[in-house]
Amino acid sequence: MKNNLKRLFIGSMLAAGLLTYNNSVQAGGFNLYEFGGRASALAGAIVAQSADASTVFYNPAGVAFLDNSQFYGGVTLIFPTANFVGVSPMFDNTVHDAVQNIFTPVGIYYAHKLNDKVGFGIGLTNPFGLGLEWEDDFPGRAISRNALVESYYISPVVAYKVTPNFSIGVGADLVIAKIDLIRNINVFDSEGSPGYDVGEVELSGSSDLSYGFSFSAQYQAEKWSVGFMYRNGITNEFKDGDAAFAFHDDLTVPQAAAVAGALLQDQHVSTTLDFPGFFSVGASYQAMEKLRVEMDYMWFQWSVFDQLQLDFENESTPDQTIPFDYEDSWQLRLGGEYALNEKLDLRAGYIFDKTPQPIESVSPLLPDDDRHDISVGIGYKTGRYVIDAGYMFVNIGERSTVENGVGMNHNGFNGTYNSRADLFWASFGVNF
Amino acid sequence: MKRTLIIALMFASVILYSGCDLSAPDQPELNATLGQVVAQGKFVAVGNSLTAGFQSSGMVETAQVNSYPALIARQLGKQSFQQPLIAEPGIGSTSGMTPLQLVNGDITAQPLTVNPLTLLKNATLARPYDNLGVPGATLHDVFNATGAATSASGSNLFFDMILRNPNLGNTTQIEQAILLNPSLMILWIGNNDALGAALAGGNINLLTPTANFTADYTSVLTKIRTSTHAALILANIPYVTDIPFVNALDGVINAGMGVPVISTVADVNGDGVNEVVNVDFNPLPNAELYVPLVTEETGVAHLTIPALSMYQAGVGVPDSAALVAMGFPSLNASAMVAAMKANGLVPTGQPLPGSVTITASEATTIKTRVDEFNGVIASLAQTFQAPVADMNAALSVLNASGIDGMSGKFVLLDPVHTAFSLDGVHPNDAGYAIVANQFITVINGALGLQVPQVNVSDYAGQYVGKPVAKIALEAAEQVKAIF
Repeated sequence: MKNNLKRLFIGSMLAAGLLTYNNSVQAGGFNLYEFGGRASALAGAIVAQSADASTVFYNPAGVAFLDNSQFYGGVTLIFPTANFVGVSPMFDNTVHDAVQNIFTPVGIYYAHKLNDKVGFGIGLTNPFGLGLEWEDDFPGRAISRNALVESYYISPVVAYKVTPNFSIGVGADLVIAKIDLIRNINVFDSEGSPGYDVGEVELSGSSDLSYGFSFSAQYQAEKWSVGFMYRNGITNEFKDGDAAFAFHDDLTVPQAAAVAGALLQDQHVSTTLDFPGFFSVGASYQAMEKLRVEMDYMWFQWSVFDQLQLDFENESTPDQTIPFDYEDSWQLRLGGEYALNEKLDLRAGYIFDKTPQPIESVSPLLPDDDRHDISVGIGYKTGRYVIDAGYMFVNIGERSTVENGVGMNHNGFNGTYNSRADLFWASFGVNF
Repeated sequence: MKRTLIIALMFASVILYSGCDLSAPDQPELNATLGQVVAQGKFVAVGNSLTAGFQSSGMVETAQVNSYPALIARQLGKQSFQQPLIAEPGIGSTSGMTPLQLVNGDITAQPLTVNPLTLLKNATLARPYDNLGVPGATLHDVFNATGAATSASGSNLFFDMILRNPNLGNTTQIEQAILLNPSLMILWIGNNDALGAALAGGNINLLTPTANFTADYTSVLTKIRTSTHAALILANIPYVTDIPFVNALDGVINAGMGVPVISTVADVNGDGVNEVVNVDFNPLPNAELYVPLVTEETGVAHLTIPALSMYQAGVGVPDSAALVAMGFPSLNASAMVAAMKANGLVPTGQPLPGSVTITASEATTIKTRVDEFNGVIASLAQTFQAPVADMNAALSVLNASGIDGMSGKFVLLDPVHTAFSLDGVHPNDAGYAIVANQFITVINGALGLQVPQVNVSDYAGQYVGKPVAKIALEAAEQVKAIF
């Protein structure tokens, strides 16, 4: 077990070091919250605690309560799985599986205790992202065949103890987002018809640097503690994205690609992508000598994610609006940690995650539903070092766009999706 | 030990979770049959002038809005069925002319003073039209012609106008239909592979050979079946000798026109010249006036509409010499000529040319060919599982007993009830409503639907209050220009 953990740990740090990370569909909508081995095993019910430097992300005010300066970092391996069966009688009963991809968001932190009152830190995280790829013959390929959204947050924070038990924290977020959307393109779509599949388009780009902020507070008493954290929303501007078109060379109507090629030429595309603001509030309690529990409530302003407007540079390429119409949503997080002995902690947690996604925008881009997540984990301390590892089962389950025999999807692409994700993580900490 | 057990249990559960595959979801069902889904999808019609909504030897918006595909689309609830609408006064089948119009009782065509291409209203529609009927299209054209130059006639401008190549990638009618990804498609084609022979007065050289028809029809259906998932509805070909253009003069010319009755004429003694079959001569006003007909061809069974115009100008009306040559006593011949003149005829002695007469033998050849075409369609329909609307039977019923109060008679004979437009070849609004209903019956049967029928009476009476007296020769000839 120890060797396995070590291998996983080494591999994850390598991945993080090379910055070859992606991140993926996790929490409802497309926010992620697995940025620390201990915190993740506690199902992210962590806003009232500050055990390691990942508090830079979860509650910057907690930096002031850290005993030492610390480097803490790790990676989560996300294995999302999804499948789809189209609605009868439009589709036969074929189950279409999504491509198995692995996504690897990281949480890397350094926190420094300046004195008894002031601490500061810096973190790198990927709090928003999604990734879902379907096979080439997927019937919804004109809506999305391969979607990838990534975000990179660099967050310097500073915390100040107002009293020995109460600290406040503020932080800045330097944010860059990346998009890569591949879908097949149909020409001549019209009433009742998706049109004719002539090729594919890849929309890709990196956003301009955006700035955000967070503020937070934490109160720690002997047996209990409370915390609060707010992180504001980000509007990512993609000004010079690339739209690259490629046409099939085996078309039934061979000349169609020529027509499409005249209309659809490689060009720039611009858009904006909104990440919601959110807050987290929770309380932690030392229930027994060896058992600490916490419950958090989180709220996300998902209603900012109403649509994705794609503005193509060329006049002849029609602009496109993809409606999402998300609703504000919330999560409940429960976590508990049992100290087996001085060195070993056992952890478990549960999340209820209310989906922000209305039935109309359940699509191959991101089929979501209310989620029930279960996490387990283990922590090992020896001297200056800490290792935290764990696993989470994200149960999204089946969601159909068909309600009472009526297809609700705004593209008319209806069916039932089943999805889940398996997350494995490891983090490593060194105290100075 | 206990601790080890707990840890082992935790991680065993982890492995169990991660090991199980994602289950296949149950397939959801719409409250809709496959037929309903098909009917809600894209509807496309491919064909010739009959599909285009061609009336009175021309294309004009006011008629196109009542094309049978437009009527079916309306019954299916389509919001935006796109046709190549041509603004008034419309484009006639003769270059530089309008469609046939009724002017003071005359069927006539007017000069078209604008460039016909400028009349196409939605020329910039950035996709193919949903109605891909091209006037004049033959079976071979639908999968070969991309413009006027590649059409069967080599100069059919309707192909340029409707297919709009090269902007749509030099695609044919069938390819443009495929580009629209239809779920329901009507293909009614092949009429022009027989009609031309009839309109040319029984020129059987204009009939498409049955072997070619079979090969081409197979190619078209194969292309549709391999390129779309569309439910395909076909229609067969009415006898082209059952249309007023051919049969209007089979019996009696409208007495109200003051034109004598034409008897049946035939080469009785086999000498190559038509004899007068009925020589009863009755010069009294309002009584039947039997006048021998002078024709080039022998064994004439049908006179086409242009023959009427020619006859009104004296062609085919015997003069004294012709009558004497036929065996009439000279005195009688003179009296007959006088009677003819008194009744408004112009005796010239010139025979009606073969281009306006169809002999019994030509008619039989054409009919046999249409039977062969329809046999091919019926057989391939089985192979390709496409139901067929029996338009041949429908026209027979229309002629025999009428449909929904409409008749198959020419507008000169029955302006109130006729289902044909002024050209005597193409249906009028009510006629196309009848055609639409034939298709709707087949669609309902094939897809298990109850799409309501078109109320034909809503489209009847197009010529009520506009008495029709005669058809100008140019107008009659225009019918033949494009069909």
